[in-house]
Order: sequence, then structure tokens, then C-alpha cells
Amino acid sequence: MTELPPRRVLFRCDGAPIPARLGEQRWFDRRHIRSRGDRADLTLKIEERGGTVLTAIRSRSTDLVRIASYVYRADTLVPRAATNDASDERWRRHFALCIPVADLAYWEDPDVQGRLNSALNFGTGDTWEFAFAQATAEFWPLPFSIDPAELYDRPTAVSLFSGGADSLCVLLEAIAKGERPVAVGHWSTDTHEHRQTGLLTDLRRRYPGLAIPHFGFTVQGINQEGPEHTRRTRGFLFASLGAAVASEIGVERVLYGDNGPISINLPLNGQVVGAHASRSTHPKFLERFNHLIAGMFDHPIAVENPLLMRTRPEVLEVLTRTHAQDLLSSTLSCSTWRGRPIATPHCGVCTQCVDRRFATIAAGLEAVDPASRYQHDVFLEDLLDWEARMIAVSYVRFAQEINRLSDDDLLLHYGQLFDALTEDDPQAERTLRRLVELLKRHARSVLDVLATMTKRHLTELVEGRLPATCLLRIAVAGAVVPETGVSISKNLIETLQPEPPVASIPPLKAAPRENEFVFDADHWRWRLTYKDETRTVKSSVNLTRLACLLAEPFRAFSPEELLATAHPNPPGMMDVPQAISEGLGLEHYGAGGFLFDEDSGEFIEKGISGLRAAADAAREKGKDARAAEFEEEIARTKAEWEKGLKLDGTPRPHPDNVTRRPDSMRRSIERAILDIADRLPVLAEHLNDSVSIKDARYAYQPKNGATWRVVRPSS
Amino acid sequence: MGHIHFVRLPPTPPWRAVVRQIQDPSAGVRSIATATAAAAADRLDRLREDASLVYCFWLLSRLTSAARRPDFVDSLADVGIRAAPSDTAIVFVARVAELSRRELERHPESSPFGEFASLSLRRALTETVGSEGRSLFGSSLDDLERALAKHATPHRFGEIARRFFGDVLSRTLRFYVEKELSLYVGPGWGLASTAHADAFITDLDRYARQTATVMETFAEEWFALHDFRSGGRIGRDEAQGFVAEALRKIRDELDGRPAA
Repeated sequence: MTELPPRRVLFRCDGAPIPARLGEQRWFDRRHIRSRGDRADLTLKIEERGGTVLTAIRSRSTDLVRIASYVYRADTLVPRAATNDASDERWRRHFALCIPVADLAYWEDPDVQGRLNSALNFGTGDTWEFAFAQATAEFWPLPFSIDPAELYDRPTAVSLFSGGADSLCVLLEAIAKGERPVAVGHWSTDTHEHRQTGLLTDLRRRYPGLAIPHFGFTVQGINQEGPEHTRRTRGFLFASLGAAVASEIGVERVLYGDNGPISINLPLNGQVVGAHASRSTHPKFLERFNHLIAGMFDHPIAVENPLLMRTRPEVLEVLTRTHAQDLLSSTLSCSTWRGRPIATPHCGVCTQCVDRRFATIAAGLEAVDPASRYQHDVFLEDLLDWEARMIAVSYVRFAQEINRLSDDDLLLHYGQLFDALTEDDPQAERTLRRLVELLKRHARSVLDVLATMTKRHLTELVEGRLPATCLLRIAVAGAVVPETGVSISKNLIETLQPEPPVASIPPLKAAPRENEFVFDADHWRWRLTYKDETRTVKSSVNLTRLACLLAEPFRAFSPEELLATAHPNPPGMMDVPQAISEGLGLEHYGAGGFLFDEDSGEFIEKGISGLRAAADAAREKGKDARAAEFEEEIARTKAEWEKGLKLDGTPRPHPDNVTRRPDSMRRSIERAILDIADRLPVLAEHLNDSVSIKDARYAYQPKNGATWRVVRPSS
Repeated sequence: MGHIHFVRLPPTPPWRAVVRQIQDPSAGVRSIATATAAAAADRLDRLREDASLVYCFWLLSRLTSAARRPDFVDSLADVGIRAAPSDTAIVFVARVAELSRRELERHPESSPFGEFASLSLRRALTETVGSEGRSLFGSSLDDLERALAKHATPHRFGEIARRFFGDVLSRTLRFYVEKELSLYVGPGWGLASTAHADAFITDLDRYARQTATVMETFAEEWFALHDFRSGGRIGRDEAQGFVAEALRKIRDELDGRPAA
């Protein structure tokens, strides 16, 4: 097998010269990063929302912000993944950056460079080296609009604000304690900016005596984001921005908040190693970052995480204490938020969404953060995507393990806990004990939520109405034994002998092969098993629809219900070409218009309202082209909406759909069975006997009592 | 949680064989461990010269030797650890963790195995204190020194080495297996629930630690020779020789080959 060494990439930033010691080495690639000129590929701007005085940010602050921006850009440009890299050897990269700086003497100090490398190394898992050169005077200053500190009523802290729930709680708690915080945000898109400014506007309304100034940094690639999305340098960037602003406005504290379990980010399962889990607020990263900035500025500045010893539900209690629960729905946690509909900004299955979902239930905040705002219900819906299943199952297993282990065994299994101790902690043992207790509370919280959801959906579990690959079924092993009320998992755990010798452990028996209608995402085929015969069939939307029938035997679907079950993307936000590309077929929408109901209408109205606000914001910032794009989107959405309205303005189904849809659906199901007949005739025969199409209703009604394990494609 | 990077095993024939066994683990953990070691053979072979693994084992052996000396705290300085007699055992392990981390950062080519070595070093120290019936919580540096000193004999050094390499092997196997395991948990799979999955991982971990027993005698002999020759200051070259041979023995055991 070919050795896979770390990728070594040399970056020349804004024309800084490459010294011979770097130039003579072999590099996998040599690239440029430019923040100026026609070939600029990095935008770096600072904006103060409401600032009136333009000044230049000071040298070392500028240097730190620029270094962090180049580092961030470089991080996104070099991919970590490689094919056939079972041992993750391409995960680590080796970066060399040549960077112009204003204070060359400072940055050339080997001690400073060592501390810079150390902070980045821990935060990213990569190796970093730097070569600094003198920046030209006219190039360097970063325009920074800022009111004099007196106009901000003597701010007491910088609060790093991402628009997420935790950073909102940091702000709220600081305000509640009498602090006068300045918010610093980083965004790479208008959506991010819009969200942060919206939340802060809300906060200012609630606290009219506070200005809560907001500095926003735009640090992003121009035209194209890089291929690497893990962005482990984001923590360094964010901390650097906070430190730079703190330096300029004369405050000593930078609040960088994330709850404790996220901050120490222990591996959810054995494949997670080092910086595979993000370390933005890890105590060791913050220790090393603070070591870097010690002595850098005119006054001491330290970045601290006020949420380290709290679980996420405990953090969210801040919202309740400050009567700001309603703000939770405006925060965003999802890591795959781009392109999501406004009504469902959270995917529901990434690590951040899963953790948020559990936390909001534990904190009693479901009313303001309901399941409907998550595109996928991790508890109740199929976890078909491999990553979604990996995350959800590992999340629960992690909590179960933490709950089971004694405090001493926790230290054995999770030696990473020692990394959370800082060198100068005078009470290291007490800190470690508190971290252990924190993890135990986190585990307890997760398991309590699981128990709550199990009780809430007990009837569906017992009746077998939940999909086989939903988290509840996986976590509680299928069903509660009827009449006894005892869970199957409890039975099985009790039958496992404690610590038997290896040789005497009986092999786990394979489950008997049941009938299967399983979508194989890796090969884009369906795997069908019926009466011990297995065949694969090429994927089609027709088979997806048939699978929906098999998943819910004896349920009579209308064409609309079957369509919505098979393809649950909200139709209102989908244009016709996209609908066709996803196989929804024009014939199901008559002449190509949309069928709207009242829910769709409300949804579209909210969407248009959001688009309008975004257009206004873009126009305010002079981004007319962007504003025009938003206006076009509004016009397009309105035109489609109006096609589906009667003269009195109420929604109407397209007349052709009334007759066309049932025929189309019948043909779709029949085609699916024909496709199966070519490969597995005995199954096709069974389906012909069992699928009922009557009065425009479709149902699977097996006379032979056949049951199915159905795995559908992710939506 | 913050963002976590998850991947799957490559769809190559050796790894597919591992995945099939994970999907239906009725053949047992030994079979899965053997298949995993076979699929990762090239990478595991290179561990015999891995700088991070060698360093962590070397440090462990030097700490053990130092515990036998009257000037334990001063001896720690020889290996780069700044300790004070008033330190707790937890503070000491944290210092060892930081020292090993600094060394790992110089060897990115170790990839995840450097991290495993550092974690296994911490675990070996913690377990050694635990072997004396003590919790690391509340233990002093003296307690740790006494526990280590009891293992600074050829016979008992084998235990420490076994703990270390057993943990390295366990983390290595889990590193690969966990890239797929959670995908095959639930109704219809051999691992019908998360409880089954955890039982499986516990079995795999136990198997790994028992497999490491194969190098225990060799560790005793090695320590007896080299600790004596070096006056308690075993060098990295010696440690490297040990690591290479220990891993060979472990690999042979995994592959079912008779001991040489």
C-alpha cells in the first residue's frame, strides 16, 4: 500500500517573499493568497454596525487578524481527505505561510513563532511554520470604523458572537451580571450576518440602556470557498478577532463561550482522534492562545470560556432565567445550514443539531425549538444517510458509556481529559473532578431525554410503527415487550455475563434474514430480499414510492400523501427544474404549476418576508447586485404562488392534477413492480397480489402476513 | 457537540471483508481483529519504527526505572518532566501528557497512532496506580512513585508493558472498526441495539489486552537486560528495538502464527 505522508503546501500571502529555507524544500503545492488587487481571493473587512469614526487598527492587532485570516483561508484550500486512506494519514497537513507583517521584529521572535505554532497545532492537528516579511506602510492598515470607547459606556468585555445558542447565552448572562459587552462576529455569508444582527437588534430592544456594539468581520474566499470544510482554524480566527477588538477598545476579557462537553469534545467513538473533533474552545487551545497573546498588546488580554463547566441544557437555562426563551428559535446551530429553507434551518442529523435537539428537550424548551424546525427528526425518522446514523448512534453510545463508567474508569478510557487541565491550574485535581461530574451530567441528560422520547412514543414502538433505523428503535432494541412492560434491551443486558473470559463468550447470533427493501446509497441500488432470495434493482423514484407502501402496511395513501412521504422536500421552495431533476415529474403537477395548500402558503409568505429583509439589508450595504438577486427570487416565488390561486386568492389545485395525479401514481407503482419482475419474479407476484390501488388510494395489504425491513433513501 | 469528522472504511476488498464481519459478528471478535490487522497490515508494520510510539514507550520505561531511584523527582528532569514533591498524581500524569503531546507534534507522520501512544501512556500510569488499589483521585506523587517502583522489576515491568501495548492495540482496532460499527446497529443486524454494540466493543477491547500478553515475557527479559546495562537510563534506540519486536509478536498473535 502506498505511503500517505501529510500534504505539504507552501502559501505566499499578498506577495511576501519566500525565504530560501522554505523555497528549497519540496512541496506538494505552492499557492498564493491575495487580499488585494484583481486576483484577490480573500475578503477581509471589519464593519461596525453603526460606527462613525474611521481609524486604523493598530499594528500587532492588524498582524494578528491578517495572520489568522491567511491561516483560515489556507485551511480551506487544502483538502484533508484522500481515497483509500483507512488510517487517516491525509488528515494532517503541513502548512508553510509567508506573510507580510507590520511589526516584523515581534513576529520574527522564535518564542512568538513557537507559541503561534503551538496554538495552531493543537487547534487543528496540522503542522504550521511561518516566514514573516515587512509589510509596506500603505498596504497594511486595516480600516476599522469605531466610536470612541466613551460613547459605548465603557465596555467591560468582548463577547464572541456566532449567532448560535451558546454564544447568545454568553451575551445574555454577561448583560444580566451587569457587564457592558461588545459583540464580535465573523461571517462568510449574508445569512450569517443577517442572523447575528437580527439577534442583537432583539437584545437591544430588551435592554434599551445598552448599546451592545457589534463588530463584524468578513473573512471569506472570493468567488469560491475552498474544498476543505472542517475549518479547524475557525477557533483561532475567532479568538484572534476578539483579541484584536479587545486591544483596540481597551478591554481585558474576551468571552468565547461553548458548553463544556462541546469544548472538551471527547471522541464519540473510537475513530475520532485528536482534532477530528473541533477544539475551538478546548481549554488547552485557549491556554495556548492566551500564551500567544500574552505581552502582544498594550494591556493584558485573555480569552475565557464562561460555559466550560456547564452542559448544554444548563447553558440554555440562561434563556429561561433571562426570559429570552423565544430567541432560541432565531439561533442557528446546524453545520449544514446553507440552502436550507427558512422554516427548517436545521438538518436535524449533524452533531450540532443532534446535540441541540437533545439539549432543548432536556431544558424544557421544545415549545420554542420544536421538532418541526428540524428537517429530519432524529428520534422518529429513518437514519438512512450513513453519517446521520453514525452520529446519532455514537452520540447515544457515548452517553451510555459515560453513564456506566466509574470516575476512575473514565480517566482510564478518556485520557484526553488530562489535556483539559492547564499548566498553571492550582486546583488541577478539583478541575478534573468537576469535568468528570460534568460529563456524568451530560450523559444523564442524554439518557433522560431518550427515556422521555421513548415514553412519549411507546405506543408506536410497541406497535412497530416506527422505522427500523430511527434512533429510538436502535437505542431501545426494537420494542418494549408487550404486557410485561420490560424493554428487550434490558432483558438482553441482564443476560450478558459480566466479564466472562474471552473464550467462553458465545458468538452473537445473526438475526434471521427478514424480507428487505433496502436502499444502498453507496451503489445507488435497491437490495430486495423476499423468501430468502436477494436481488438488486437499479434505483428509481418509483421504487422509493413502493418502499413507502411496504414501510406502512395497510395504510391507504392518497397520491399527495404518498408523494409527500416519498419526497418530503417542501414543494414551495423548489423550482420546476429542480423538481424534475429530483424525479418529481411534471405530470404530477399538471402543467408544471405547484399545488399549494394553506401550510405551503404560510411557508412561502415567511420565505418571501425573509428574502425581502435580506434584499433590504444588502441594499443598505450598497450591495445592489445582491439585492437584485434577492428581488428576482421574490418575483419568481410570487409568480409560482399566483399560478396556484383562485380569483378570490385562495389556493387551488391545478385542474389537471385532479385526474392526472392518481393515474401518474398508479403508473409509477406499476412500473416499480415491473422493474422488480425482471429481477425477482416471486416478489413481483406477491406485490401484484398485495398492492391495492382503489378509489385513488394506494396500500400494501399482504395476505400472507409478510413484514419488511425498509430502508429508504435520505430525502 | 462541535463538528466531528467521521469517515468510513475504504471500499477495497480487505476492508469489505472487515465490514462483512461487522455486519454479522457471529464469527467473534478474534476474527474481526485478525481481518482488521490484515487489512491495515502495511500501516501496522510501519508502527514498528514509529517515532511517537517509541517515544511514549521509552518515557514509560524511564519513568518506571526512575521510580526505583531515591531521587525520583530529580530523575524526572532527565526526561524533561518538571515535577515537585507536592504534586498530585493527577498533576504528574497531566505533565506527562503535555510532554508527550509536545513530542507528538514533532511527528505528524505518526497520524492517529501518536495520539494512541500518548493516551496509552497515560492509561498505563493510571492503571499502575490503580493496581495498588488506589484511585488516581486523591493520590500523591509519592503514591504514584511507589506504585511504579513496584513495577520496576523485570517481572512486573512486563505488566506495565502489557498494559501499554494492550491499550495501543485496543485503540487501533477500535479506530478502524468504529468507522463502520454504528452503521450496523439496530433491528435486523447482528448488533441489535446500542447495548449489543457496547458489549461487542468491550469484548474487542478485552481481546486486544489479552493478545498483548504475548509480549509480556519478552518485556520482562528486555527490561532486565537494558535497565541494568544502562543504569536505569534506557535509550531510545533500545526502546525502538523493543517496540519493533513487541509489535511483531502481537501481529503474529493476531494472525494466528505460532510464536517464534
